[in-house]
Parts: sequence; structure tokens; C-alpha cells
Amino acid sequence: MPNSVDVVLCHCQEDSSARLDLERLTEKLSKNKKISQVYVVEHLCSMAGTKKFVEIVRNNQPSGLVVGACAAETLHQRLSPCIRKAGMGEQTCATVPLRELILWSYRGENILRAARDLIKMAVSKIRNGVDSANRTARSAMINYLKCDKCKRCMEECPIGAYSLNSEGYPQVNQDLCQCCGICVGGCPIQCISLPDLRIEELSSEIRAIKGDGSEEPILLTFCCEPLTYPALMREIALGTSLPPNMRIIRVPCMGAVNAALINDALASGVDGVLLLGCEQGSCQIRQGDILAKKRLENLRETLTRMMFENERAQYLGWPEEKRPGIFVDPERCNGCLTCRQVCPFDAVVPSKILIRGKERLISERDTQACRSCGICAANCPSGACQPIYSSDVRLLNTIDAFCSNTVKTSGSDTAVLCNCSGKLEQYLDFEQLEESLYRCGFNQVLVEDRLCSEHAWQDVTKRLSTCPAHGVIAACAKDLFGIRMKKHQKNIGLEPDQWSFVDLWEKTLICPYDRSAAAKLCFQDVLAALAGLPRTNGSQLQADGEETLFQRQIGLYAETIRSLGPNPLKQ
Amino acid sequence: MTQSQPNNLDEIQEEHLEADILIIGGGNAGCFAAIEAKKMNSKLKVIIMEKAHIDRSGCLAGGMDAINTYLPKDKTPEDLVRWSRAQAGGLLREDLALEISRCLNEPIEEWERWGLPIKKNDNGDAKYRGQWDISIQGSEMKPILAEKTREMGAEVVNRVVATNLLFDGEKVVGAMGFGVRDGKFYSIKGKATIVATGGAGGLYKPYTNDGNDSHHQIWYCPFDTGTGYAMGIRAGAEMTTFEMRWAAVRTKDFNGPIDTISVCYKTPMVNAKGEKFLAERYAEYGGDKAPRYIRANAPMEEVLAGRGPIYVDTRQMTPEQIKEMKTDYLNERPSFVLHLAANGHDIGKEPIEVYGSDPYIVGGHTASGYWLDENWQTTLPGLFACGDVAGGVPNKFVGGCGAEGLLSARGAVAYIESIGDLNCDLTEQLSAEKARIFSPLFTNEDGVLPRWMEEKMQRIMDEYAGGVHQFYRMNEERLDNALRHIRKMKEQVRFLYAKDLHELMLAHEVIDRLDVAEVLIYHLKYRKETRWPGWQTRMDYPEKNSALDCFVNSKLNRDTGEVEVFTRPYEQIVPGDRYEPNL
Amino acid sequence: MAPKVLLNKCDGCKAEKEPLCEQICPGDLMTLGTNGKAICRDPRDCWDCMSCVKICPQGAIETRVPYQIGYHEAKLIPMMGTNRITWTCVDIDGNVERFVVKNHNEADDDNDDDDDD
Repeated sequence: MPNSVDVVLCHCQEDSSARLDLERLTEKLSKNKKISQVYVVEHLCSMAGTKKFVEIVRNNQPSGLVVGACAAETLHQRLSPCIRKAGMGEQTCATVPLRELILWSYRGENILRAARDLIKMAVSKIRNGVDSANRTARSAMINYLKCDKCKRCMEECPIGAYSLNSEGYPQVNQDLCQCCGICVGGCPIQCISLPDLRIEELSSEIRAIKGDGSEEPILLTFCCEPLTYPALMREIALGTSLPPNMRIIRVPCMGAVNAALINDALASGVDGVLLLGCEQGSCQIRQGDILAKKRLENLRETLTRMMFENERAQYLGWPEEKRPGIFVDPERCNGCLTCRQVCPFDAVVPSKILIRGKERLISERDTQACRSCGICAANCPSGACQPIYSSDVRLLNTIDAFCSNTVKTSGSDTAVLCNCSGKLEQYLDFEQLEESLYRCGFNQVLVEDRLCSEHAWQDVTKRLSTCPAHGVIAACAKDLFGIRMKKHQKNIGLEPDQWSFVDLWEKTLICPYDRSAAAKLCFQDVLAALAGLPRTNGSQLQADGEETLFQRQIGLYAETIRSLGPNPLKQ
Repeated sequence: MTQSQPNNLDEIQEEHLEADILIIGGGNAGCFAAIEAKKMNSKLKVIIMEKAHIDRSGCLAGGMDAINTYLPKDKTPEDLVRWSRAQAGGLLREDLALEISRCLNEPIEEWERWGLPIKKNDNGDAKYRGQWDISIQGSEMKPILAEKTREMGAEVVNRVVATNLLFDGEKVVGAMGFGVRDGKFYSIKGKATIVATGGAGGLYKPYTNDGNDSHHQIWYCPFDTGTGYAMGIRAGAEMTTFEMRWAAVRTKDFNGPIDTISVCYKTPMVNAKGEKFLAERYAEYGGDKAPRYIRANAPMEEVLAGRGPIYVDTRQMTPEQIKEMKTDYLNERPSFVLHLAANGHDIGKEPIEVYGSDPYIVGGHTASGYWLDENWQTTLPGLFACGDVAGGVPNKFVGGCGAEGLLSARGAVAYIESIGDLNCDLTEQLSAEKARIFSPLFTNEDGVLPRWMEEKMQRIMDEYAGGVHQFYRMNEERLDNALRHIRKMKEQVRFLYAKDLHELMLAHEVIDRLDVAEVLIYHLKYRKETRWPGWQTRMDYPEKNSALDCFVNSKLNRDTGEVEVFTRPYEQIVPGDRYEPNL
Repeated sequence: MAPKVLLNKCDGCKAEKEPLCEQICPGDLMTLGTNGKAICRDPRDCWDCMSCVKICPQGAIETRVPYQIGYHEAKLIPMMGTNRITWTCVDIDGNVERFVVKNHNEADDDNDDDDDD
């Protein structure tokens, strides 16, 4: 068991520090006996930041590590080689997505509390981590010391990956196992685990949930990886915030949630447990939702016999029509299959269809595999691929509405946008952006191809000198520009605080869930920076102005739990 | 699932296994014996033959809320032996007791590392609830131990009932039995055999089963039926001190433990007049700290004197204490909390009534069991014993029985190093035992149901051999009566009829109990004195007889079929007054 | 005391040969009935250790006090978590008591020292 857990927090300058007081967070976390050291590193995503991270890991050799940063997932991919190089097992490192799960999900004081809660949950998880060489295995693992040969796993496995060995114990066919966790969720004695799903760890994570100490109910929501986690993250990115004490735990499928975990949650004072899964029968993994509901019904019946409000444990199905996905317009698809080359999930299926009597090759999506990341939409030369839930048209309409209603600048401002060799064009419609910016009152909008080049910068300097005023620079790596700005400051004749910077690159390219939503967010940031408004956490904008599913149903759920009063088991 | 029944003996399949060490019974002591043997030599093949499922077998099935003997930092093993000696009325095997005390804490410390929660005081030390006992939260302690046993590499054969020992001449070389699920005949050879089957419950009729739906409403585990004793008795092993029966004051109608209440929360025992009779009438024995047999007998004396009912007065307890006490019960006998609820009993307002339990033969509490040498070997070479089945040392409880597991394994491992490979012909023993085991399946359906015989035995023992309905009292003539009936029933076991494997198990349980009951009666008859009133009350010999200040032992003469009873001297090792715990 | 199987909840452990309650019962009392549901073959022989109640994945078994020694009708229901049991006891007058009991040490104990703000 790791006994010295270090915490590394990424400092993202304005973006996070404006809303999350890292100093206070560090102070709070440092008081916790389970955490040996808290580090704050500037821009963990930058080369310099990564270097600093490697130093910390090398010098301290912590037995456990929790990293809190913006897009934790992407970061994890980047940092895990460093962790391995330093000789640490991967099971001893957890990441907390500070941005999606904290900055975007909560408001005001709740941000700090949620950050503390989530980091402590991760620390608990790590401290109860099971050291095991089997981490690298790619299938479910059975603890034969506990297994009672009840064979429920075999009965319930949706793909028949289980068989019996010569001693009558179930065994997993590693080639078949898809790591859905349905056996983990059903095992009556909790003796099955996945490489990254261990009941002991989840249980300690759950027990670490404390909430903010207010009257607000503590809600635990399980989200599934294929559907509801990304969908929820999208909702959050689009501007909804979570109820103040809602905490999210990701599992491969609702079928992977063992009743013992729900019991743990209720026993440790959580007021409500929500399984946020698929609608009836639409589970990508097969049967996960059906089994989860059945098991939950059993538990709810027991809760009723216990004279315990069974509403505290609920299943909520994500409506099928709200399922994020990619719509391919067969009229526009030219069958080039560029999407197939760029798709990271192998979700593109070429297929032949008859259009007006002629057979044509078009691209389709394997809905099981598609994570609706939007990469194909960004790369599609003919504009045939569109994210169902946030098409470009809807996005731009929102931007337009925002521009005309909200932001008005002083009229003497300059905006400098970097197109990054055309990369950003894939996500942002620069033409429309320019138009909107002028309408907001900018009198100069500059679009540079590669702002990081000396050449481009000279051009900017020249053109800026004719227009002294406030301005905003929107480009990728911020620290690089900090240095450039300093260098050219004198030439331009501007004080640095007259300029704001919007980190287009981090916002757009790192966001793994929905690139168009991220693009929209960074657009908001551009405008907000220009207008001198507080930076967005998304919540200032409503997606399409309509109430989202999240707000409606989860809000209703939170209201139900609130009306029940505190969990009678709260100690 | 009901198995298809065999029509004759030939249809019964056989399973023959071999081990270095065979452990019969996978309870607390048996598991620790297995773990210790594997620790000493991981190459040894250790098989546990378990009647039920090792995860929940034995006395700890429901859990435990305390370790009654756990050596505090400032006490020595000698101190513990002195206390234990006084509690047992001055008679115990001090050599063995000292050995146990020396490694008493080992198993519990291990258990804690494996996951057993022990309540702690502010310093982080184990929290003592009394002088020697600590509080634990042991509702899942048995599954924890079982998992560790498997992890250490001991093989567990669940659902196999042991029925008799295997012999190579004088040496014990394993055991035989049958699978209660698969219906097979089993023989498991072992270079050494450790018997750890627990004590004997269900010898006497409990008052709590006066309603028929609560046949097993008893304090001791009703599935521990004295099989370990019986196998030894039938093989001519020497048994000791059966007459020191264990009976205790338990919660009325439920037969639940009361130390949880009276020791932990210092609640006094009072009679109907509100008198704290232990302090008032038994001050010379130590009042509330009087030896256990005094504490068992005194309330019954009060009842006889017309001052019943007897209560443990819980009315002074705070709501927090009540909640904590109920939690303790949930860790040990959860259904006691249910019992209180089923009687609408608010113990903050009404005290808890207590009454004597039916008597048990249980070597973890009293000194009944196999007579052992200093290596925990019985008088049968190759057979070792630990836990409730091992005699000579009372007040072992959970910790002491675990420690005995370690000690018996050490004895057994040393023993197998001294002998060579097993090479013997067991054919005759196997076929005879196979026929004996399965005969109840093939007898006339008009025969005797195991339950009838069990209930008859319990009634006879209760009425004539000092059961709770007789306030534990007996005399020579009644004991003779009991012996006559028990012998008659033993003759009639050939009429036992079992319709399935479960009933076959019940049939062998009653056969084993009858053997234990017979020897018990011999012991009770031999001790013509009253040494432990309550545990052993002879109305015809109400005083102590100094000539019997020794162990009463017995042994079946296999040639004559007679139980021979004789004495062994008591040897004092730890100096001091034997009746005084602190000197 | 006797275990009562709630027939609407018991799934016979998916009709395996031995349901978990049958596997675990120290008294060999639970078995699979002809209807594919668990059944206690001899309720009077139960020691109410509650092993079957605790292990049942469906929460389909309750321990009941025989009327001879208790009134109608109290309940004691354990809900098994990873390292703790939540007990609910309902007495004959409908009073509810709850207990959360730790039954297994965990590497990480619960109490933090950083104070709340």
C-alpha cells in the first residue's frame, strides 16, 4: 500500500487560478496526513512543466501520485511514460480532471471544496490500491482465494468469455473479454476485478467523499465510459454545472457497479446514488443496463424492507436521441474516407448505398465504437460529418446570438488570432468569427497563420503600432507568447496588462470529449477577454438556450434527494 | 439439490486422498494449524477436511465480538495461568496453559494484519473491556481466516464429514468420512492428523427449544457435535475432565452470551428483589469476578430460592452504550438484536432476563477433551488435537484455540519428520467403515429417524445427567438411569434410517453424540464430589473431596468395550494459591 | 430461528446446482427446491448465524424469530458493503434502528485531519 502520496497540481495561470485558489487548496491538502507533499507546477502540459514533473517524481520517489490538471486524460497519456521511467507502477498514479470535473462543474466556493474532495478521493483510491503485476492484464481477473464457484459471472457475461477450469472455477478467456465489468458488478463476494476497476479501490474512493459540509445532499453518480461520462462532460462543457455535492465516478458500464459499492456509499452517508447509464437495451456492451437495473431493483426492495427511502438509489437512462454521435449526410459524403484515416476509434465503416439509383461509397459509423469526438467532422472536406448534438450550424448560431446580445467592446480593440497553420480552422469558422468580432466593436481583427514565427510576429507588431489600444491574442502555447510579448512590448508601446491572452490550443485540441464544444468555449473566452468580462466556466452560456437533459433530470433527482432530507445512516 | 440416492453399497463412489498433514475441521483452530504447518514448510501437503464450508464453519460462523484472553503488555503468561486456574476451580494442565499463554497473542495479531478490526484506545493499543479481554469487530473474521488459509496453500475439502480415524497399527494415519454433497466415501491419509472439530453441543435438551421451531436455539454452535471426541473415544484415546461441563448464564429464551453486556458495560446481575446477589452472597469467591461456574450456578440458586427471575440490569446504560452494545452483538450473534426487537424490548427501560444454558462439552472453555502430551499429541500416536476438542486447558477461548492451532501444527510437523512414508494396507478398515457409514441409507424405512434419537438422548441427558431443567443437579441413581438409556440407544443405532445425505450426516452426528454422552456419564459418576457447582453438582456428594483433586480421565477398552475411568495427578508449575487469581 | 426465502427475489443463484446459501450454511440446511428457489430444509435446525442472509446476492433471505420465542414481527436486515455492514432492525412496534459496522480493516482509515471550512 502506498503510504506517501504526493499531489501535483497544474497551474494554468489565468484560466484555473481565477476560479480555483490553488494556494488555499494546497494549504488544505497539505494538512491531510495521507498526503506527504503538494506541488504546483505551471503548465504541466508544456515541455517545461513535464520536465518539472519528471524531476519531482525522480527526486521524491513517492509511492503514490495524484495529478490534478485540466484535461487529465490526455495528460495521463503524456505523463505515464515519465511515471514508468521513474520506476513507479501505473496503479500508483491517478489523475483528477480539474477542468471538466471541477472548474466547469461547480461554481464559487464549491470549486475549492469539490477539488479537495476529488483529490482526496483519488488519494484514498491510491492508498488502498492493490499492488499487482496483473495491472497490465487485459481481462477480468478472479481472486481464486475468495471465489465460491457460484458461476454467476459465467451466467451473466454478455459475450460468453467465461468457462470452467478443471477444478470447477470460472476462468476468463482473455481474447474474448472486453473488460466491461459486468462480472465485477455481479460477483456476490466481490472477487473479480478489472485492471483498472477494483472494488476495494472504488470503495475507498467512495468513503472519502465528504461533501462541503452544507445542507446540500451528497450525490454520487456512476457514469459509464462509452456513453454517459462523455455525454455528461459535454453537457458540462456546454455550460451546465453539477449540484454542489455531486461526485462522479467512472465505470466501464453500469453493469460493473457492484451492489456493495452502493451499500458502501449509503453506509458512509452519501444521500443519493445515481446510476447514469443507457436507456433500456441500448447498452453498447450489451445487457449492462438491464442487469444493472435488475440488481438495483433488488437492492431497492431491500432498502424498502429496511424502511429506507429507496429513491436514494436510482437508475437514470440517457435518452437515445440525446446520445452524442456523428451524422453523416449521404448527400454530401464524397466517399473519400478521410474520416477513416483520422478516426482514433476505428469507428468508420465504409458502406455502399444506392442514391437516386446509383450505388455510391459513403462512410458510416459503428455506433458501438464511435465516441463522437468530432475529429472526423473537423477533417471532413465536404462537410458531410456533423456531430449530432452540436453541429457547426448550431454552434455558430449560438456564437452569433452571444455576440449580438452580450458583448460590446470599447471599439478600439484589436484581436489577434492565430490559425496555427490552418489547424484551428478545422474547429473555428474564422470568417464568421471575424465578422462577429467586428460586430462586437473590434476595429481590427488580425488572423495570422503561424503567430509563433518571428515573421508573423513582426507583421503583428507593425500593424498593432497603428492601432494602440487594448487587445487580445488568441493562440496556442501561452508561455511562448509571454516571452515574445515582453520582447516586442517596447516596439508596440503597450503595457502587458492591456493585453489578454486566450489559450486556443489547450482549449480546443486537448479537450477529448467534444472538440466543437471546446471550440465554442474558447470562442466565449475570446469574447469574454475582449469585453473584460470574467472568464467563462461555460455556465454563462446555455447551449442553444434550451434546458439540457442534465439540468432537467438530474436536477429533478437532486431535488428528490434534497426533499428526503439527510441520509439516516449519516454519522 | 437432492442427489439421486444409491441403491446399494457398491454404487457408492470412493475418493482417496493423501496428505502430509490432515486437519479435521476448518474452524478457528484448524485454520491456524494449517497456516502454521504451511508456514513451517510450504512444501507440505496440508488438507483440511471440513464438514461445512470453511468460510463459515465452526463457532465463528456468526462472528465474534471479543477475544476473551489476550495478554496485556504488563502481564506475564504466568499471570494469565493464575487467573485461568482460579476461574477453573484450581484444576488445569499448567504445562500446556503456559505454552498457550506464551504464544497467545500471535494468532490475533496475524488476524488483525489480515483485516480483522480490533477496537483501539486513544494510544492505538487494543482496548481491553475487562482484565484479559479485548473488543473486536469480528462478524467476518472467519471468511478472513479462510481466505488466508487458502492463500497459504492448504487444500480444503468442503462438505466432507469425518466419521472415523485410519490406523496403521497403533498409529493414526488419517481419517475416513463421506461427502455430504457428492455422496462419496472419502479416505484421506495423513502422516500426521490434527483433530480440530470443536466441542459437543446438543447433548442436553435446552429449555429454549420447548417450542419446536427453535431446536437449535442454543449458545454453542449446534453443528459442533462432538465428532472429534467420538472418533477418539471409539479408537481408545484417553479423554480428560468431561465432567467439567460448560454451562453459563445466558440471555433468557435466546441463550446468547452476556459477557458482552456484563463485562463490557459493567452492568450488575440482580435478582427479582433487585439484590446484587453475586456481590452480596458470593463475596468470598470474588463477587462479580467469581469463577465462571459460580457465576453460572448462582443465578440458578437464586431462582431455586424463589428470588427469580434474574436480570442483567441494563437500565443505567446510556443510549450510546446501548447502541454500542447492540453493535457488539451484531458482530457476534446478530440475531440477539432481532430477538430484542421481536419482543419489543427496550433495554434502557427494562433489564435483560438471564437464565442458565444447557450444558456443553467444550474444551475451549473448560478442560474437557483429549489428554495431550507437551507436543499436543493425543495418546494415539500421530493424532494431535487443538481447539475445543483439546483437553486440559480451560479459558482458552478464541485466542487460545488459535494458539493451540499453532502449537499442534508445530507438534505435527516435528512428528512427520521423525517417521517415514506411509506404507500400509488399509483395505479392511476402508470397507468396514464404508459399510458402517452408509448403512442408514439402506435400512428399513420403518426405522428410527436421527431426529427422534437425538431428541430422546437430549431428554434423557437433561433429566438424568444434570440438565438445565434439573438445575444441573444429579445423583448416582439418575446417572445410572441415563447410562442405561444411552447404552440402549447405542445398541439401536443400527435402526437409524436416513432418507438423504443430509439425514445421513444427522445420523452420524447422533451416533457421535451418544458416544460422547456415554463417556460423559462415566466421568460424572466417577467424580463423587461437587467440585464445580453448576457445572457438576452431585446432590449425593455436595462437598469437595480432596482425594479427587486431580484429573479424571477415561479410555475405551477396545477389547472389552468398557469405558475405563482413572485419575491423573494435577501438577502445579506456577506457584501461588490455586484459588486466588492474583497471587 | 429460521431463514425465510423471499421467493420473488431469490433467483436460485441463476439455477446453479448449489446456490450460495447452500454452499455457505454451516448446518447444511439450505438447498435448491424443485421450483429453482432456495429453501431451508429444516427451519428448526437453524442457528441464525445469518451467513446465508449475508451472502445472498439478491437480498432474498431474512432471518425470522419463531413465534414461540418472539412476537410478530421484527426484522433484522444486513446490507453488505465492501468493508462494512449496514444493519437495520425494525422492532414489533415499527421502531427502526440502524448500525453501520466495520468488519474488515482497510489500508486507509477514514478520518482526515484537515478541517472543514
